[in-house]
Formats: sequence, C-alpha cells, structure tokens
Amino acid sequence: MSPRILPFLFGLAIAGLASNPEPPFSRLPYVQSASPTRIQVVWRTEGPVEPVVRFGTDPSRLDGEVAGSDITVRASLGTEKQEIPERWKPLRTARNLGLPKLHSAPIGTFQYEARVKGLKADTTYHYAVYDGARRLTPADSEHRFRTQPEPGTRRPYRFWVIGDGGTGRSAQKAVFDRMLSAVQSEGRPLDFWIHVGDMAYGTGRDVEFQTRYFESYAPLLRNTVCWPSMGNHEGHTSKGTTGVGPYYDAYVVPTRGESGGVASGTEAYYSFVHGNIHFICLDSHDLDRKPDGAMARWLKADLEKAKADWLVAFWHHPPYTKGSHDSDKEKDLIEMRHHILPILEAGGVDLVLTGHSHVYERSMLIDGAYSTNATTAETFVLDDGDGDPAGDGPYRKSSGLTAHAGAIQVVAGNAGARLGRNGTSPIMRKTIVEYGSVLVEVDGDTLRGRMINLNGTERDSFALVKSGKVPVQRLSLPWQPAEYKKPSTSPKVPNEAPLDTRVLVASGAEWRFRPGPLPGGQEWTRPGFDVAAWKAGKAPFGRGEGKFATPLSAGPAAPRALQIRREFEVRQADRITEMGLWIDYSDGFVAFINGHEVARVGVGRSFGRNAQGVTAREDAGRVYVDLRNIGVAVKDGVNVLAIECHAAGGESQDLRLDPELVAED
Amino acid sequence: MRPWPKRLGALALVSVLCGKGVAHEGPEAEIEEITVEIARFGESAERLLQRAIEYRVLGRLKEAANDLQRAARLETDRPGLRRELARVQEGLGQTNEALATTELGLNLKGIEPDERAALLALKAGLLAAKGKSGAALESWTEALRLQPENVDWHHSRSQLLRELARHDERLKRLDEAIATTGSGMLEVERIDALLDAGRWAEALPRIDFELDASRLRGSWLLRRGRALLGMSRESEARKDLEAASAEIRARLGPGIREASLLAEVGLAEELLGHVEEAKRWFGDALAAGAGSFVRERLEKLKAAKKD
Repeated sequence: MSPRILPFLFGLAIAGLASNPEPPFSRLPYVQSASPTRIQVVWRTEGPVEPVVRFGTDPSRLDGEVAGSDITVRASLGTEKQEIPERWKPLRTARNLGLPKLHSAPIGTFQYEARVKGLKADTTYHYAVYDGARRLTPADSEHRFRTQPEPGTRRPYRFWVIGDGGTGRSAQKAVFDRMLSAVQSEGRPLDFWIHVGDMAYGTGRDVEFQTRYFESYAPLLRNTVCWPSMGNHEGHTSKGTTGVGPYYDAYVVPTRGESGGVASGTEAYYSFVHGNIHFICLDSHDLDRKPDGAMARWLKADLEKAKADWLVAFWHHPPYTKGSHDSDKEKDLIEMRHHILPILEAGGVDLVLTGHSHVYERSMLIDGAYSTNATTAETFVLDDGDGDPAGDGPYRKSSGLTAHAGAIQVVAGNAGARLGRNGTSPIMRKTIVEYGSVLVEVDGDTLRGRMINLNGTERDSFALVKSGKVPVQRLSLPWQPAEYKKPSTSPKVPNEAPLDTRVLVASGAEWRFRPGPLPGGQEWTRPGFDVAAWKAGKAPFGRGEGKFATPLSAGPAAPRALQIRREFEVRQADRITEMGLWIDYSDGFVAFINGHEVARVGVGRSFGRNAQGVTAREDAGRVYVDLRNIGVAVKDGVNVLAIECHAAGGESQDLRLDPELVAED
Repeated sequence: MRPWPKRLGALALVSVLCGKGVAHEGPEAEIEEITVEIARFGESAERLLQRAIEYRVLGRLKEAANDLQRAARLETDRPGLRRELARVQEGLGQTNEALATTELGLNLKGIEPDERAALLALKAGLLAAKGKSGAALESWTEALRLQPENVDWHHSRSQLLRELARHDERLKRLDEAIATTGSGMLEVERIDALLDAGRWAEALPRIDFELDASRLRGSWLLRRGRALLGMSRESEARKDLEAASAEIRARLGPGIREASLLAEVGLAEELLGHVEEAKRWFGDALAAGAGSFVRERLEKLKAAKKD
C-alpha cells in the first residue's frame, strides 16, 4: 500500500465520529482554494487566538510557518448599538471592531484565513494550527493537504460531486458514508470535491452552515478542498450581487486567477485548473445571466484562454430537469440554458454539473438544446446510447476542446434533501429518484462518472472518451425515455429529525399542567406567568388508551383540553440550528416558546378556548415536529415552553400529550 | 454528534408542515405550502417574500409584486423587500413604480451600507433605462463608493459610459476598477474602451498579448482588425477580420446561437464593408439576447442607409 493512501484510510476510519468542535475551535480547520503553490487553511475560534499555521511534508517536522499579515482575521462582535453577552464586551476594542466582519456568525466568533504559500506542486503537506506556541490541532495525519498539480499534468484524477445535501438528516450522512466506503474500497483518494449548492438548509444561515455542512463533512474538509457554487437556499442569506453573507464567509475561492483561469474579481463565479481539467463555477442564483452581462463576458474570456484537455462547468440551477424542478417552467433554469449554455458549448464544454432538482438525472451526449420553450431532443442528441462502458459503450468526442461536439449534463441534487420527480426530460438517459452522489474520474482520454446510491450500489455509470477526430452527427430521431406518469397520490413522507440533536426537555419530565377549559388569551404561554396554583405532573399526560404518568379525569364532563408549561435553559441561542418536538399527542396541539407560537398540528386556527378545526389524529406514536420562529422566540438563559393539547371531539374522549424538546446545534 | 438515533426507524407520518428547507418540492409546491401556511398562521412579511420569490421564478410577476407590496406594508423598515419589489416592478416594465420603490428603500432609516448599495445599483439601471444617464451615473458611482469591489457594477457603469461616448472617464474608471478587483473581464472591457476611444496604437500591443495567450482567437483577431483599420493598415486589418469571421462562424452552433459570437461576426462583416450581411448577423444577435452595443451598431447601419 502506498504511503499516500495510508493516512487517507485512517481518515476514513474516523469519518463517522465527527463531533461539535472542541474549544477553542468553533469551526474546525479546513482547506480552501488550492493551487500548485499555495492553499488556504481556514478555521474559527470562540474568542480570539494568536493564529499560527505550521506546515511541512514530514508530519514530524512542520518547519514552515504562516502568521501575521498572511492570516486574514474576521470577527463577529455585533454592531455598536447591539446588546451582546457580557463576556464578549471586553473584545469590542477599536482594533477588533476594525476587522472585516463575519456576516451573522455567533457573537464572539473569530475566523482565520491563513495563506500558505511557496509550496511544491502535487505534493502532500501536513499542517497544524496553533494559538501562539500552543498546538490546537492534534498531531495526526489527518491535517494535511495536497497541492494541485501543475496545469496540464496528465495523471488520473478523482473528484466527488454532490448537491442539495445540507439537511443534517440521515440521508446526507448515508450519502457521505457510502462515498467514503466506495473510495476506501477502491484505495484511491479524492483529489477534491465539488458542491453544486444547497449545502445549508433551510436558509443558509451561519449556524446551518456550521451544523449541516462543516460538522457533517469535517473529516473530508480538513484535508480535501471543496469547490463550491451557491444554491438558492444559501441565497436566502447570501447575495452574489454584493458578495456578502454566510456563504461568502464560509468559502475562500480564487478571484484573481490564483488557481488558473482568468481572474473573475468576485467569489460569486471563478475558475480553476486541476492538472489537465479546467473547471468553471458560475452563480446561477442571483446574478445577471444575459450574454452581455458581466458573468457571461467573464465566462467567454475564461473559455478563450482555457487550454486544458477537459472542460467541466458547474453551478446550481440545471438547464435540463424534470425532477423536483422543471427547467421548462422556471426562469433561472431557462436563462442558464438559453444564455449561458451556448457560450459554454461554443467553448467546448465536456461535462456540466448542477443540482437544485432533488433527483439524479444524466443526459445523453447533447448539444444545442437552448430553447426557451419545452426542451426537445431531436437534432440535439449526438449519441443516444447509454454511455456505459459495460453497455452501449462510452460517448466519443474528438480530442481537445471542440465547439459543439457534445456535452453530458448531470443533475446531482440527490445528496440529502427530499427527492422528487415531476416528469421526464427528453435529453436524459438516466433519471433515478434515489439518494446518492457522483464520483468522477479523469484518466488520459477518458472521463468516467458513477452515481453511488444510499446502499453503496453503483446506479449509473457513464464515460466519455476524447480521442482522434470524431465527426459530429445529429440524430433526428434519438432514443427517448419512457414518459413518466406522476402517481395521483403520493405517500406522505415522514418528517425526519436532524441527526445531531441534544435534549432540552426530556420525555417524562415534570411539567406544570392544568386541564381545560382553556383561557382565550396567550398570557399563560409567556415568561413570568404565575403557575403556582397549577398542579405538577410528569409526562405522559392523558386518558383513554395507553399508560400515563399523569392520568387525566375521564367522563362526559371531562375537559377536552390540557395546558402544560415548563422552563428550559439555553446557553447560546444563536448557535441553535433547529429545534423540534418529539411528541406523542392526541388529537392536536399548539406549542409556544416565550409566548411565540412555534408549532401547530391538528388544530386549524386560533388557540385556547377559541381553537377551531381540531381534527382526529389518524396515526399514533411519537413524531418529530420542527419548530418555527426559533430565531425570534428562543433567548439565552431561561425560556418557557408551553403546549396546549386538544381532543377532537365526537365519541372518542382520548387526550394524550408526551413531548420531548430537542435542539440541533 | 450523538450516535445515530434509534428512533429514526419509528418515524410516523405527520400532517404538520415540515421544515421548509428540507421539503423543497419545486416552486409550485412551495407556493401551495406557503399559501396553506398563510391561511393557518396569517400573513407575515417573510412568508409573503418567500412566496413572491417562487412566483418570480415561475414568471408570475404580478402575483409576486402583489405579495411584495403586502410584505412591504407589514415590514416597512426592511430594505430587502423594497429591492425585491423594485426588481419585480422592473420586470413588469413598471419603471416609474420601481424607481419610486427604490427611493422608499433608500430613505429608510438605519439602512445598512450593503443594502443601500444594492438599491443604488438597481436605481442606476432603472434611470439608465429611462434615458436619465447623468443621474444613473451618479447612482452607479455612489453604489460603487459603498462597494468598490463589485465587478458587475463596474461593468455596468462602463457600458453606460460607452453609450454616452465618455471614453476618457470610462478608461479612468476602469483603471480604478481593475486595480481594486483584478478582474480579467474588466481588462477586456478596458481594451474595448481603448478601441471605442480610437486609441488604436495603445490598444494594439495589449490585443497582441491576449491573442498570443488565447486558445479561441476570433474575438481578439476581430479587435486587432478593428485597431488596424483605425490605424489605416487596411490589408492587415482585412486579413484579421476575415480570419476572425471564419473562426467565429466555425464555433457557432445550431438553432438559437450564442449572442456574443453572432454579434462579433456582425461586427467583422460591418468592418469588412458587408453592410447587409452585418445587419443580418446583428439582428440574429439581438434575437439571441445581445444588448445595447449590438442595438447601437444596427441602428447606426440602418440610419446610414437612410442617409
């Protein structure tokens, strides 16, 4: 086994044990923006440190050092008028307030971006992060990186492609694990990976980035560069127009052509060269996509200079899809097809990687399908085989970069978010509604892609061989996929809890409670309400079927509703990504935190004695309900959770309430 | 991270609206979901904004504008809502209303610099569309003062200065922009600005440098041909222009084709004196989405014929 693989395999062994960062880290070190001679090491701490990065090719002798002005420091210390926790107030010095700001990181966060320079190309280095003389990262083989090969270097490369994964749920983890298993079993590490967007659901907040991206992929991020493109979910809080937001805080990408390609001058779109592959990342979300816009003009300038053997482009919104999105109806997708694809195809693009649509779709070898109306395949398909080396054989193009010689489109939006399909795109050869991700390998004249699903099964395999001179043929009647008929009814999908949660109020906890009739107002849901006259009892509460720690009275005159409330403590509300209730209930409930309504199930409208439209619960058992408005409702210190539960009425007298409050952070 | 929760296997169905981010099922489903949410919980600026974004994606701009207007009434001090509304109004062709919306946004108390800059950029585009170039320039300049690294805005301001034939100012601003951003695209724009300014000799060595570094040479051959023509080196120019036209034509694809390449063939043909051919190519370029540069050239050619 080669020495290069050994540390890599070690990394895989600990992949499943990623945890919240140990202090002082609030975001573990990760590598960014590689080139043949430099790379960036980025990390965050809670409170400041004296940042130093030491590096070297021998893990036992890290003789290179980065410190001082080669490390950019950003900080989150709030605005001058903002009330911040007492412990951070001493940090609000003129010097610290003059640092570049982090958009919305928790107060007290410091981010360090160390530029490691003067490196040898295609070489593995080890690194460690220090606070002055104190080593913060362990002395392991995990903290390493490999510089890019010199442009034009021809050797086998492998990269991973995922999209729409950042949910914090089980599918995201399983997709990651299956990729790691595949790579491990083949004994060949990734050179880098590409994220085609939607890495931090639901709105790309800083805490969502932390939990659902950085903690989820930490074992890979610390030693393998991720090249990102912004998705629409990140676009809720980050703006390509201004380059501001948690997405732009999270990533350092080349803006001045540091990794090859023409300088874009912006982190919204950029290019890089890895060996003999030229990559182009575009912002499909919120920038002008028109052909005379700045992004398109940069794209053209970049393509003019690109001299690699292979050309791969990636962004978020797919030009062709009938998955959970429809590229014939949605403006962003249509514009990328109509305005941007012609430029790329005239520049000789080989592979286009996108996401957004929660499905895996892979096209035939196609060119020229730019219509703003419904996409058709006739004359736009150059090879209608399956592209599988073990099937119809690989697609073929002339060697080098040739205009309009065909490209493969891959929609890889299946890495974690709920899957969906609405139809069939006529240019797609494979449409697979399964979770998974894509491994791409480039070796000499062959590019190979494989979709690995949640079970580790290879569900699609395609290849493109570029060799000699291959004439372009346009098929007037290409193979067509079977029409997809969407089922008239779809099964209800369970609402899944995040994986990384901790309990704030345990099941079986003691509550203050009062059976109805309930008051009309919401005063009882707010902090400070006097519950001294209320009884104390443990959950589960109820009557009817089942065992209850606190039985409620039954009979014709028994109350049809129940109020419960209790306090819980939160240390740092701004570090909570999501809160939810694991709850067994009958028949409906409304939950409040500090007087703010955060959940409503089975109760149509209003609350208390005015509650209307209580519907009988059809299923049973504990379910997970994610809470809304937690950014507004939850505060540091003591909070109040209040729940009112209603019986539906009719013959059944059942009333049941058994909640557990959890938080993802 | 806690161990894998055992209860994952015991998930039951739940009729509640689940987490927005994870449930993403396309814009129509999102609209449906948010509409249900509004019916249950009432209107909020955030819900209306999210629904408006989905309407906008589907091109249902009137519905988007309606939601955004209501959202802006609910949260009067949120500049992002004004910006979104103005964008939608612009899409509806309601330039005056869009301008009024940006003014309302700009007048909000405590507006953050980034938001202010974005509104100013939007306002600049709207003013330019109304032909109020001086005011548009002021707006661009103010936006760029707040965000000097914004490549897209530098590019837009440069295009406006080109339309106004304020070549020296355009070059000066581009020099500043390149120093700030390092953008390669703005370097190209600067070479175009030199050509537009008739500073042929200054442009020529830069074009030669780019030409040597390029895989795709047509655009640069065209620029060199233009410079040489300006310097009255006509036979050299013709050679470059013909080579440019041939190389670019070879890269044009079928059906709807790449607007900038169509425009470049049009320009090559115009400079070669093939007026009718040039008009045809410019017309195709406009149909493919080309912007003001092509429109100006085409109008000029049409006007010349009338003369």
